[in-house]
Amino acid sequence: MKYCGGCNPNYERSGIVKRARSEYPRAEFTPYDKAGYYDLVLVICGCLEECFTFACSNSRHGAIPIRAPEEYRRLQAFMEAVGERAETTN
Amino acid sequence: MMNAQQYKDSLKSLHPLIYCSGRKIENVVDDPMTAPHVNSAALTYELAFDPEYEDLMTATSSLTGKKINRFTHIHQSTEDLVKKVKMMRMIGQKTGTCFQRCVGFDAMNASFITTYKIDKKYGTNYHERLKKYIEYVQESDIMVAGSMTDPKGDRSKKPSQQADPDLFVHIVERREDGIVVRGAKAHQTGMVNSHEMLILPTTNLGPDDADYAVAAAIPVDAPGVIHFFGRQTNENRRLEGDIDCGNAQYAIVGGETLTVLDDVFVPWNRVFMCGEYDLAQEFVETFASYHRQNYGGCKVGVADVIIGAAAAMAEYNGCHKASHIKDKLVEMVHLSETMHCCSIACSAMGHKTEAGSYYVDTLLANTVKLNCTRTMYEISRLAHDIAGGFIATLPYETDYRSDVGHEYIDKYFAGDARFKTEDRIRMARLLENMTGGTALAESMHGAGSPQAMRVMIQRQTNWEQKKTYAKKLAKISTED
Ligand SMILES: Cc1cc2nc3c(=O)[nH]c(=O)nc-3n(C[C@H](O)[C@H](O)[C@H](O)COP(=O)(O)OP(=O)(O)OC[C@H]3O[C@@H](n4cnc5c(N)ncnc54)[C@H](O)[C@@H]3O)c2cc1C
Repeated sequence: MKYCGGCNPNYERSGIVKRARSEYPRAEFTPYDKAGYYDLVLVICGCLEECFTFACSNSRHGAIPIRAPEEYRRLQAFMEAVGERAETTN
Repeated sequence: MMNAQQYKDSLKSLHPLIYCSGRKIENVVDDPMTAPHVNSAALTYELAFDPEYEDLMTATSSLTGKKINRFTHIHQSTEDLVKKVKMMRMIGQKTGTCFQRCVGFDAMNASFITTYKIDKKYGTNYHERLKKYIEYVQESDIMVAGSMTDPKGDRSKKPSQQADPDLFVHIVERREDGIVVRGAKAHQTGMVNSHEMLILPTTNLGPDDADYAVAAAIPVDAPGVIHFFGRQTNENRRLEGDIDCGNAQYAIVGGETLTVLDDVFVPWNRVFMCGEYDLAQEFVETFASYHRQNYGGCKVGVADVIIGAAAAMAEYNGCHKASHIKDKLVEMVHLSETMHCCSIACSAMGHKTEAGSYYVDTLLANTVKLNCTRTMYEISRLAHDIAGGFIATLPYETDYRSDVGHEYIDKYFAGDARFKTEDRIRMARLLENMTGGTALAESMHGAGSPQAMRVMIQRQTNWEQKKTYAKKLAKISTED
């Protein structure tokens, strides 16, 4: 997870992670670190602006931006594509 | 970078001389008068380690390439300037008050630009010295107070014309190893919980004022430095409980001081201006413009809290559906977002300086702060209107907690029965403390009184160009 700066988010960004953790208990969600290597980077933005520049080359499947609670479906679509099923749905 | 605990521990190792209501404050971290201000500044350290906020809270040093707290950064792009504003709004939403660290941040950035200009004109070596100092600040992550404002005495007179020469900080001795300064700095935000102060001149100077042209970094506990902690509205409520404080964790404004410099020695490696009076104006304007940029950041974060409190009060009072209440809340948002627009604009329209750092659009930055001197009062006025008179007449917390008082106060200060009376009282106290007295004066005078902005706006405006536009449309010849 890579968060935007959180200047004036339209929703609770950590809620996305909470939901993902509970729906995909087999996946490990950790804060992004330049030095790390990941299957996927979830870029969690507080609004639609995507104001910060984020380029990531240390992820197998690139990055998915989530800029609103509705965009959580992007993670769900990715998980489905890699054969990971959600345990619960909200 | 330091985290919040390391910051607090580092303050405990300092020994500043602080007087408060006739006694000395020995430990600013634990003393109830200073602790909330320490908490507020500590958040600037804590959030730098939080993955949710690190993108705003940290930057890459232009001097070392290392990750640093943004409050020690020299702006390298307009994006940096925008991030500063966004960061300040975000912290303001969490503290509901001043978190103090912007003043030193602005003083360092202003010094970066001005020392470059002084060196260019006089062949001095201040800029390199300053870079080394900033590198030290970035590495150690210390908090630096920004110390510009002198007591100023008779405002119509220059420093050298004052009845008392010490009413502006001045150099009293030049030695082989450094200088000795005397005077005082007034209204010093965050001073008691800073590690050092960066003093700058406060006004434009003439040839007779050369000794007043001084910029230097001084530890807050250097020999000869004495702090007098400022008295605020309702400040003694901190000694009595938490409801009446309103914001017990972070208090209001920045715990300002009168800081006396009674013949304080400064070694040359911490002197960044010494006698170059003709560049004092440059220092003042650059610092002021950076500082005025902030007011559509931190104050908007504070306004977000005030607006939220007013909206909650309307619900507690059972009138949140009334059209005039909704209208007033919308007006509050409109005013506050207007300030934010100005700050974002002056940042986005910033430019690269000769020194290599980035500087705000000064006309727009002055517009932000001039707006704020009115807007925060209007937002507060509307909040008072919505909240109701009990924000001014509520009984004491001690009575609310007493056997005899609790039942009556709880019963008669109830609003909509779906909500607890204590919540209604707590919200009222938060609003009372955020919107009155000391809190408001900061929006007026912090970063300069309104006239100072008007003077800058007058100077920065291209009047001839505007007249030409008008004459062209009116078909008036512009050729003489
Ligand atoms: C809460 C708070 C925090 C602050 N924090 C800091 C800080 O961290 N660091 C720092 O350096 N400063 C700080 N300041 C100081 C702030 O910058 C000054 O308050 C501001 O510049 C105004 O100066 P003053 O208070 O001396 O008011 P004055 O200069 O006395 O202004 C009072 C009135 O007199 C007018 N006036 C002043 N001089 C003249 C003149 N020559 N001719 C005509 N009219 C004049 C002004 O326009 C104004 O209307 C802080 C102030 C406040 C209130």
